[in-house]
Amino acid sequence: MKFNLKIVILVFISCLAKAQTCNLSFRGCIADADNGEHLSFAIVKLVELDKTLQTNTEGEFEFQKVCAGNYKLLVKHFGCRDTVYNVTIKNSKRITFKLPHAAHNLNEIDIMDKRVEIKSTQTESKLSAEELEKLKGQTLGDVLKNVSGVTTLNTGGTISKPMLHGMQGYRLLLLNNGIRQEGQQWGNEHAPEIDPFIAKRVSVIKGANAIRYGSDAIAGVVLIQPNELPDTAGINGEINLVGLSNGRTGAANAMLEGSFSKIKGFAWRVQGSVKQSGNIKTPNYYITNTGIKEFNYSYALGYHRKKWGVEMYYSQFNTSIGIFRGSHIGNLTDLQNALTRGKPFDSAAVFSYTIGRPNQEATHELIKGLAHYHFASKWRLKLQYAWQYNARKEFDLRRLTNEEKITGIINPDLDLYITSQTVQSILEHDNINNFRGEFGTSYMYQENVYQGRFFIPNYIANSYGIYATERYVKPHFEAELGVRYDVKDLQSYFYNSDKIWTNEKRIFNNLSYNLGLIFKPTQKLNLFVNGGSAWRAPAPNELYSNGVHQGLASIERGDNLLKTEICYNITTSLIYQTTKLKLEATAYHNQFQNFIYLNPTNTLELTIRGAFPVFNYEQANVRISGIDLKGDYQINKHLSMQSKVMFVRGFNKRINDYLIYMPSDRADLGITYSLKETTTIKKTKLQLITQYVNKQWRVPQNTDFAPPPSSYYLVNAELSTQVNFKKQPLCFHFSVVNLLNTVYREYLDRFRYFTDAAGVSYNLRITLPLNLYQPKNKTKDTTS
Amino acid sequence: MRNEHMKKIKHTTVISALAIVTSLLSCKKDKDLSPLPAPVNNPPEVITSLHLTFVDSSNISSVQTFKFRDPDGDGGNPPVQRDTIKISANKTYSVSVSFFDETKNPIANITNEINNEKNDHQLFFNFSGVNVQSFYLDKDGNNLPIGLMNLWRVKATSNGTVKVVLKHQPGIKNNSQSTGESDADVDFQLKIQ
Repeated sequence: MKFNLKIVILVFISCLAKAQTCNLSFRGCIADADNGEHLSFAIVKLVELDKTLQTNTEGEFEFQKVCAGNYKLLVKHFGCRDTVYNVTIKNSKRITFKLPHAAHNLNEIDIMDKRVEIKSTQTESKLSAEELEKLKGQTLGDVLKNVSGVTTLNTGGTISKPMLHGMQGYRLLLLNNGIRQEGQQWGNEHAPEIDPFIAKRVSVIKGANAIRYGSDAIAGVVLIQPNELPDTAGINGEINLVGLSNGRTGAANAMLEGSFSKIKGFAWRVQGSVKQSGNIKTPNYYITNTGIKEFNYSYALGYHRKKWGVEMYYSQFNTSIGIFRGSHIGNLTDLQNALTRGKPFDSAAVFSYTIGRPNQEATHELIKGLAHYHFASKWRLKLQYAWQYNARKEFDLRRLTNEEKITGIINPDLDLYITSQTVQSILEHDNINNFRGEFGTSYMYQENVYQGRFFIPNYIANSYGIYATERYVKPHFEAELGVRYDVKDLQSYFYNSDKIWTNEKRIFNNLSYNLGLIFKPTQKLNLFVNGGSAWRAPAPNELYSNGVHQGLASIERGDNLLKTEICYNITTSLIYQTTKLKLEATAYHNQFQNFIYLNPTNTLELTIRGAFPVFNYEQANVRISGIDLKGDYQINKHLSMQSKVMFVRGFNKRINDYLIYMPSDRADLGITYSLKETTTIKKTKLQLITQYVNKQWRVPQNTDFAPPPSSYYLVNAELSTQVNFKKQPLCFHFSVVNLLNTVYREYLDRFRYFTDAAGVSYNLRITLPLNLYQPKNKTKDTTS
Repeated sequence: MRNEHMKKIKHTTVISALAIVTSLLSCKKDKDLSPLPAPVNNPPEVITSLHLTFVDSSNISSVQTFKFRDPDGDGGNPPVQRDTIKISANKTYSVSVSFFDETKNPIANITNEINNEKNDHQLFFNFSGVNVQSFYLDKDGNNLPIGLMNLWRVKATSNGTVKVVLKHQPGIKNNSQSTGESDADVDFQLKIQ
């Protein structure tokens, strides 16, 4: 009896003790051991509790409700060595961890050389892994739309081009795994040929001055990166399954990656994805011929040693896209008929996966080779070569010729092949007297060939670039200066007005520069100011196109005397972050000299299909400015709020009127409820998001075929959770897009003349992370 | 010493393996570009010209042809020929329509191809300022009119226009002018004397 009582008391006391000490808060900060700079987006993991967090922009993290005891804390950061710290937690405390830089630990054989990330003073908006997770199976444009300031230029629900601050195509640089994406960017219905499943790290650099990526990043740069190759031995993978009710879309992706314990430093990854969707449904009818088929794959190999590393990457993207049949018009009368009808003539159509004409087929291939070498403790040399091939075939809805009927081989109406090769060398240095920087050169050779109908000429282009940037980093202040000089020559081959095959050469060159400052008066507040200039050479279609733009009932004429387009930009951002509130505000102003745009001439040209309006490529002084706002607020431990607002204003000073095709004002508001975690069910969240899009009433007079559509209001709902079956996690994400089945049309959708936008869609995504093989881990403790 | 040698071998093996894999697994062949020849494939067929042939039913030896010709196709140079139709009052004509592609050498007659796809095409005649009645003389497989062969009943002397429209209506032909895409849409001046 006595004995028993003792036990009871002991148990009671220990419970009491536990109850007290399990409410500890373990806060910390991750800093660069080298310069004390706080590291944002570092991954911190409490190994024993299997809890993982990401540090905020101040490098801080906080684990709540931690019991007292000894723990292992694993810290990972880009460019740093993965480090495990032994931590003893007795009471709530804040510890600063100094993370060693990869470059300074070369004496240990199992530490592999890693990429050094040189951050810049520019505003960079990222999508978190969680956000990317719930966008699987969407087009790349729809993924990027979740970054504040990004909208899309759509051709229906299946073709979307990302647009940053109202600029797209040649004005927005896309970097796919570090390589500038080169395709037929001039086409409004040419979405970037990149598999969104590859994108594991997506960020958008805002402002015209991202000079290390090229002179022509006028709006900014979109960076799409796969994960780093694994550096610990083992085989891991991931399977994603996606089903969307609208379009009866199915998509699947599988990835395997690994590293051998026998060959240290050698890592590999293979990935492949397929996607198919059929006719998209608006609230009232199907939009015929809007199916898609996609087949993509990629693989990567890497070999890293102490002082050097090599990597190769290959990816292939194949797509076949149906173009809504009712959007294919022969002349202005057809367009007028479509506008008065208000809905497609075949609105009684049923669902189908069949892709008929008009349609597009595009293939994009990329081979990349990268080598880097640490030749001194703080200096690194990087060499990169890439080969890209983009083939695009477009088939119009037209009468087949007798030959095509006999052979069954249908000739594409637009048939374009573009091959680009880029070579880059970059010399980087780490912190030297608070300066870090890089010097680089780049060269690109590009060839374009067309068959069949003329729209853009054959051409050979050579681009040469040289740049230098240096950044001065202090705890409360940073400054950056970058300068770049580029030369581009463009030799075009085409039939002149006398039907003689002729050629013409144009040479463009200019300077781009950037000056950036960051002020960090307190831990919570960061202020970014960037100013600079970027430019781009006129594109071949702007110089030489001459003819009917099929399906648009207009004649487009290039001007071979167009000058360089120059943009002067100033972008300021403010980031304010506390444990409960995160605010991001960006304001920008772009002043363009010789902005290239299609100007309606108010003349009509007679063809056998009637009179067509003529649009000429012309230049004007233009300004584009705007504001992006983003705010997250944690109301209590379960409830949080997310909001996003954007305004863009474009004005053409030459015609003293608004710029056409600017995104209208829009605002998003979301409420998230997070459920309590259990050992088997984690990260359960319920989210309700509403979006309001205002009517774009700032449009130029007499240039559009129809007035802009009315404002609209959309509601989306999401439920995501992670279930752990023993050791195997499984992530589910269920969402309803356009929950109220709202009928609407978006101003920046080219199909808005003909049809409503997509109606409700019930989407399910399942992610299955795989841990197939894990040899005994050899992580070394560095601190105690 | 031996160890280092082995290491070197390992490095070379891995690198050459990377190189071999890279070269083996690549890929679609790009078009041979230099020295950028003119395109080999011809552009797809286009309609550049429309002919209207009138036969006086009271005198079948009286044949008149009126033309619209834009030999270099849409855009480029303006049309080179745009006839005014001059026909006699109070007469009946059989009117046939033919289409040509003058960008091809020799000039391609597309009329037969339209007739082969008669279930997907229909011609329409819109008169304005003149009193003419037009009747279809041809039918497609679904008993809908085509309009390559027609009968015009011409009434009193007057001046006006006729719009000749060729509609491409694959799978959706329904005897309506507002369906489908316009392959030709030509306004002729029409003088009834």
